[in-house]
Amino acid sequence: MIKLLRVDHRLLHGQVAFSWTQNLGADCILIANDDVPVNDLRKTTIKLAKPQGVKLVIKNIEDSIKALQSGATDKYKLFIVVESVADAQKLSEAYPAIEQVNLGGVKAKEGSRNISKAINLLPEEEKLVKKMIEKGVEVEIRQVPNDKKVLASTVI
Amino acid sequence: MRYLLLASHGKLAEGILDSTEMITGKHDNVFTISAYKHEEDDLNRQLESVMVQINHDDELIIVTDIFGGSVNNECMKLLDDTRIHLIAGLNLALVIELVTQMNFKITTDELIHTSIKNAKDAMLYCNQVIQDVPTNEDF
Repeated sequence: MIKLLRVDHRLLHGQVAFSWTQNLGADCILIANDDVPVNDLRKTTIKLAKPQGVKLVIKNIEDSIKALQSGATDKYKLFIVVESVADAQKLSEAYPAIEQVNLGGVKAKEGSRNISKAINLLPEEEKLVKKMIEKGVEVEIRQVPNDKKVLASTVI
Repeated sequence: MRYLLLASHGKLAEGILDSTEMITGKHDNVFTISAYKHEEDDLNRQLESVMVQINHDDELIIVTDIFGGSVNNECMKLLDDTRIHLIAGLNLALVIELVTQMNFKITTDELIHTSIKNAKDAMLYCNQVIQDVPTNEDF
Protein backbone atom coordinates (compact mmCIF):
# COMPACT_ATOMS: atom_id res chain seq x y z
CA MET A 1 0.00 0.00 0.00
CA ILE A 2 1.38 3.37 -1.02
CA LYS A 3 1.20 5.90 1.82
CA LEU A 4 2.72 8.80 -0.13
CA LEU A 5 5.07 9.79 -2.90
CA ARG A 6 7.18 12.83 -2.03
CA VAL A 7 9.27 15.01 -4.30
CA ASP A 8 12.33 16.34 -2.46
CA HIS A 9 15.59 17.28 -4.13
CA ARG A 10 17.43 16.32 -0.94
CA LEU A 11 15.78 12.86 -0.96
CA LEU A 12 16.20 11.33 2.53
CA HIS A 13 17.22 13.79 5.26
CA GLY A 14 16.08 14.80 8.75
CA GLN A 15 12.76 16.23 7.69
CA VAL A 16 11.81 13.26 5.54
CA ALA A 17 13.33 10.55 7.65
CA PHE A 18 11.78 11.59 10.94
CA SER A 19 8.57 13.53 10.51
CA TRP A 20 7.14 11.94 7.42
CA THR A 21 7.93 8.32 8.17
CA GLN A 22 6.57 8.74 11.68
CA ASN A 23 3.50 10.67 10.57
CA LEU A 24 2.62 8.25 7.76
CA GLY A 25 3.25 5.17 9.86
CA ALA A 26 5.39 3.90 6.98
CA ASP A 27 7.39 0.69 7.44
CA CYS A 28 9.33 0.90 4.18
CA ILE A 29 10.96 3.76 2.29
CA LEU A 30 11.71 3.49 -1.42
CA ILE A 31 14.25 5.93 -2.81
CA ALA A 32 13.53 5.91 -6.55
CA ASN A 33 16.39 7.68 -8.30
CA ASP A 34 18.71 6.97 -11.22
CA ASP A 35 21.84 8.47 -9.65
CA VAL A 36 21.85 7.16 -6.06
CA PRO A 37 22.27 3.43 -6.89
CA VAL A 38 25.49 4.24 -8.78
CA ASN A 39 26.76 7.03 -6.51
CA ASP A 40 28.38 5.39 -3.50
CA LEU A 41 28.77 8.44 -1.30
CA ARG A 42 25.18 9.52 -1.84
CA LYS A 43 23.98 5.98 -1.27
CA THR A 44 25.95 5.67 1.99
CA THR A 45 24.66 8.98 3.32
CA ILE A 46 21.06 8.03 2.58
CA LYS A 47 21.41 4.58 4.13
CA LEU A 48 22.80 6.13 7.28
CA ALA A 49 19.94 8.66 7.49
CA LYS A 50 17.38 5.88 7.65
CA PRO A 51 15.13 5.93 10.71
CA GLN A 52 15.33 2.84 12.90
CA GLY A 53 12.84 0.04 12.39
CA VAL A 54 12.06 0.99 8.80
CA LYS A 55 13.17 -0.88 5.69
CA LEU A 56 14.99 1.19 3.09
CA VAL A 57 15.11 0.18 -0.58
CA ILE A 58 17.09 2.13 -3.18
CA LYS A 59 16.30 1.50 -6.86
CA ASN A 60 16.55 3.34 -10.15
CA ILE A 61 13.30 4.55 -11.69
CA GLU A 62 12.90 1.62 -14.08
CA ASP A 63 13.48 -1.01 -11.38
CA SER A 64 11.22 0.90 -8.98
CA ILE A 65 8.39 0.73 -11.51
CA LYS A 66 9.03 -3.00 -12.04
CA ALA A 67 8.97 -3.64 -8.29
CA LEU A 68 5.73 -1.69 -7.82
CA GLN A 69 4.01 -3.41 -10.75
CA SER A 70 5.16 -6.88 -9.63
CA GLY A 71 3.21 -6.59 -6.38
CA ALA A 72 6.38 -7.09 -4.31
CA THR A 73 5.66 -3.85 -2.48
CA ASP A 74 2.01 -4.58 -1.65
CA LYS A 75 2.70 -5.87 1.85
CA TYR A 76 4.44 -2.66 2.91
CA LYS A 77 3.17 0.70 4.07
CA LEU A 78 5.35 2.34 1.50
CA PHE A 79 6.73 5.86 1.44
CA ILE A 80 8.34 6.70 -1.89
CA VAL A 81 10.79 9.59 -2.21
CA VAL A 82 11.94 10.96 -5.56
CA GLU A 83 14.16 13.89 -6.46
CA SER A 84 12.16 15.54 -9.23
CA VAL A 85 8.69 16.21 -10.57
CA ALA A 86 9.66 14.29 -13.73
CA ASP A 87 10.45 11.15 -11.70
CA ALA A 88 7.18 11.51 -9.76
CA GLN A 89 5.24 11.77 -12.99
CA LYS A 90 6.96 8.68 -14.46
CA LEU A 91 6.09 6.61 -11.39
CA SER A 92 2.50 7.78 -11.07
CA GLU A 93 1.92 7.25 -14.80
CA ALA A 94 3.29 3.69 -14.66
CA TYR A 95 1.62 2.85 -11.35
CA PRO A 96 -1.77 4.54 -10.90
CA ALA A 97 -2.13 3.28 -7.31
CA ILE A 98 -0.06 6.35 -6.47
CA GLU A 99 -2.93 8.69 -5.71
CA GLN A 100 -1.13 11.42 -3.79
CA VAL A 101 2.05 13.30 -4.64
CA ASN A 102 3.58 15.66 -2.11
CA LEU A 103 5.86 18.44 -3.32
CA GLY A 104 8.30 18.97 -0.46
CA GLY A 105 11.31 20.64 -2.01
CA VAL A 106 12.29 21.52 -5.57
CA LYS A 107 15.26 23.85 -5.74
CA ALA A 108 15.40 26.89 -8.01
CA LYS A 109 16.95 26.43 -11.44
CA GLU A 110 17.54 28.72 -14.41
CA GLY A 111 14.08 29.63 -15.73
CA SER A 112 12.11 28.17 -12.82
CA ARG A 113 9.25 29.92 -11.07
CA ASN A 114 8.71 29.98 -7.31
CA ILE A 115 5.17 28.69 -6.76
CA SER A 116 5.42 28.12 -3.01
CA LYS A 117 7.98 28.06 -0.21
CA ALA A 118 10.77 25.69 -1.33
CA ILE A 119 8.99 24.79 -4.58
CA ASN A 120 10.44 26.12 -7.84
CA LEU A 121 9.12 24.69 -11.10
CA LEU A 122 10.27 24.97 -14.69
CA PRO A 123 7.50 25.45 -17.27
CA GLU A 124 7.85 21.80 -18.34
CA GLU A 125 7.56 20.69 -14.71
CA GLU A 126 4.36 22.71 -14.31
CA LYS A 127 3.04 20.83 -17.35
CA LEU A 128 3.91 17.49 -15.73
CA VAL A 129 2.14 18.55 -12.52
CA LYS A 130 -0.97 19.47 -14.52
CA LYS A 131 -0.78 16.13 -16.31
CA MET A 132 -0.77 14.29 -12.97
CA ILE A 133 -3.70 16.35 -11.70
CA GLU A 134 -5.65 15.56 -14.87
CA LYS A 135 -5.08 11.85 -14.23
CA GLY A 136 -6.70 12.29 -10.80
CA VAL A 137 -3.56 12.40 -8.67
CA GLU A 138 -3.76 14.77 -5.68
CA VAL A 139 -0.67 16.96 -5.96
CA GLU A 140 -0.13 18.90 -2.74
CA ILE A 141 2.57 21.15 -1.32
CA ARG A 142 3.81 20.65 2.23
CA GLN A 143 7.32 20.66 3.65
CA VAL A 144 6.46 18.93 6.89
CA PRO A 145 3.38 16.91 7.87
CA ASN A 146 2.09 19.58 10.28
CA ASP A 147 1.98 22.24 7.54
CA LYS A 148 -1.36 23.00 5.93
CA LYS A 149 -1.81 21.15 2.64
CA VAL A 150 -1.79 23.49 -0.36
CA LEU A 151 -3.14 21.94 -3.54
CA ALA A 152 -0.79 22.52 -6.48
CA SER A 153 -3.80 23.25 -8.68
CA THR A 154 -4.37 26.49 -6.74
CA VAL A 155 -0.88 27.90 -7.40
CA ILE A 156 -0.02 26.90 -10.97
CA MET B 1 -2.11 16.81 27.82
CA ARG B 2 1.67 16.58 27.68
CA TYR B 3 3.83 19.67 27.57
CA LEU B 4 7.54 20.00 26.95
CA LEU B 5 9.86 22.57 28.51
CA LEU B 6 13.40 23.04 27.20
CA ALA B 7 15.62 24.88 29.69
CA SER B 8 19.24 25.94 29.32
CA HIS B 9 22.00 28.29 30.38
CA GLY B 10 21.62 30.96 27.69
CA LYS B 11 20.03 30.46 24.31
CA LEU B 12 20.54 26.74 23.66
CA ALA B 13 16.90 25.91 24.48
CA GLU B 14 15.35 28.46 22.12
CA GLY B 15 17.90 27.56 19.42
CA ILE B 16 17.02 23.87 19.66
CA LEU B 17 13.31 24.65 19.44
CA ASP B 18 14.00 26.79 16.36
CA SER B 19 15.90 23.92 14.70
CA THR B 20 13.28 21.36 15.75
CA GLU B 21 10.44 23.35 14.25
CA MET B 22 12.36 23.69 10.99
CA ILE B 23 12.36 19.91 10.83
CA THR B 24 9.01 18.90 12.31
CA GLY B 25 6.83 22.02 11.95
CA LYS B 26 5.37 24.26 14.66
CA HIS B 27 4.43 23.00 18.09
CA ASP B 28 2.15 24.80 20.52
CA ASN B 29 2.87 22.59 23.53
CA VAL B 30 6.58 23.41 23.88
CA PHE B 31 8.00 26.07 26.21
CA THR B 32 11.59 27.28 26.47
CA ILE B 33 13.58 28.95 29.21
CA SER B 34 16.88 30.64 28.39
CA ALA B 35 18.25 31.17 31.89
CA TYR B 36 20.69 33.79 33.18
CA LYS B 37 20.73 35.77 29.94
CA HIS B 38 20.01 39.03 31.72
CA GLU B 39 21.00 40.20 35.19
CA GLU B 40 17.37 40.42 36.24
CA ASP B 41 16.40 36.90 35.08
CA ASP B 42 15.15 34.70 37.89
CA LEU B 43 15.00 31.02 36.98
CA ASN B 44 12.46 30.15 39.65
CA ARG B 45 10.13 32.85 38.40
CA GLN B 46 10.62 31.65 34.81
CA LEU B 47 9.74 28.10 35.91
CA GLU B 48 6.68 29.34 37.79
CA SER B 49 5.39 31.17 34.73
CA VAL B 50 5.43 27.86 32.87
CA MET B 51 3.92 25.87 35.75
CA VAL B 52 0.87 28.15 36.01
CA GLN B 53 -0.06 27.07 32.47
CA ILE B 54 -0.04 23.37 33.37
CA ASN B 55 -3.35 21.96 34.59
CA HIS B 56 -3.57 19.45 37.42
CA ASP B 57 -4.11 16.52 35.02
CA ASP B 58 -1.42 17.64 32.53
CA GLU B 59 2.17 16.44 32.43
CA LEU B 60 5.31 18.47 31.86
CA ILE B 61 8.51 16.95 30.51
CA ILE B 62 11.43 19.25 31.31
CA VAL B 63 14.67 18.81 29.37
CA THR B 64 17.65 20.70 30.79
CA ASP B 65 21.00 21.28 29.12
CA ILE B 66 23.31 19.39 31.48
CA PHE B 67 23.11 17.14 34.52
CA GLY B 68 24.72 18.80 37.52
CA GLY B 69 24.25 22.26 36.03
CA SER B 70 22.33 24.87 38.00
CA VAL B 71 19.32 24.80 35.66
CA ASN B 72 18.94 21.06 36.20
CA ASN B 73 19.63 21.41 39.92
CA GLU B 74 16.80 23.93 40.27
CA CYS B 75 14.42 21.67 38.34
CA MET B 76 15.31 18.70 40.58
CA LYS B 77 13.61 20.61 43.38
CA LEU B 78 10.32 20.43 41.48
CA LEU B 79 10.19 16.63 41.37
CA ASP B 80 7.78 16.44 44.33
CA ASP B 81 5.21 17.51 41.78
CA THR B 82 4.23 14.21 40.12
CA ARG B 83 3.20 15.96 36.93
CA ILE B 84 6.85 16.73 36.21
CA HIS B 85 9.32 14.46 34.43
CA LEU B 86 12.90 15.71 34.24
CA ILE B 87 15.54 14.76 31.65
CA ALA B 88 19.11 16.16 31.58
CA GLY B 89 21.10 16.32 28.32
CA LEU B 90 19.27 18.55 25.87
CA ASN B 91 20.05 17.82 22.22
CA LEU B 92 18.26 18.04 18.87
CA ALA B 93 17.82 14.30 18.34
CA LEU B 94 16.21 13.93 21.75
CA VAL B 95 13.79 16.82 21.23
CA ILE B 96 12.76 15.54 17.80
CA GLU B 97 12.10 12.12 19.32
CA LEU B 98 9.99 13.68 22.08
CA VAL B 99 7.90 16.05 19.97
CA THR B 100 7.15 13.51 17.25
CA GLN B 101 5.92 10.90 19.73
CA MET B 102 4.42 13.16 22.36
CA ASN B 103 0.83 12.62 21.25
CA PHE B 104 1.17 8.86 20.89
CA LYS B 105 -0.87 6.71 23.26
CA ILE B 106 2.13 5.45 25.24
CA THR B 107 3.00 6.12 28.85
CA THR B 108 5.23 9.10 29.56
CA ASP B 109 7.84 6.75 31.07
CA GLU B 110 7.89 4.77 27.85
CA LEU B 111 8.06 7.92 25.72
CA ILE B 112 11.04 9.19 27.69
CA HIS B 113 12.91 5.88 27.75
CA THR B 114 12.56 5.36 23.99
CA SER B 115 13.49 8.96 23.22
CA ILE B 116 16.63 8.86 25.37
CA LYS B 117 17.70 5.56 23.87
CA ASN B 118 17.21 6.74 20.29
CA ALA B 119 18.93 10.06 20.97
CA LYS B 120 21.93 8.26 22.48
CA ASP B 121 22.07 6.01 19.42
CA ALA B 122 22.09 9.12 17.23
CA MET B 123 25.40 10.33 18.69
CA LEU B 124 27.99 8.89 16.37
CA TYR B 125 31.58 9.12 15.22
CA CYS B 126 30.85 9.38 11.49
CA ASN B 127 34.33 8.39 10.27
CA GLN B 128 33.78 5.04 11.91
CA VAL B 129 30.14 4.71 10.92
CA ILE B 130 30.98 5.09 7.25
CA GLN B 131 33.15 1.94 7.46
CA ASP B 132 30.12 -0.03 8.51
CA VAL B 133 27.36 0.79 6.03
CA PRO B 134 24.30 -1.48 6.09
CA THR B 135 23.92 -3.83 3.13
CA ASN B 136 21.43 -3.17 0.34
CA GLU B 137 17.85 -4.12 1.10
CA ASP B 138 15.19 -5.31 -1.34
CA PHE B 139 11.44 -5.85 -1.10
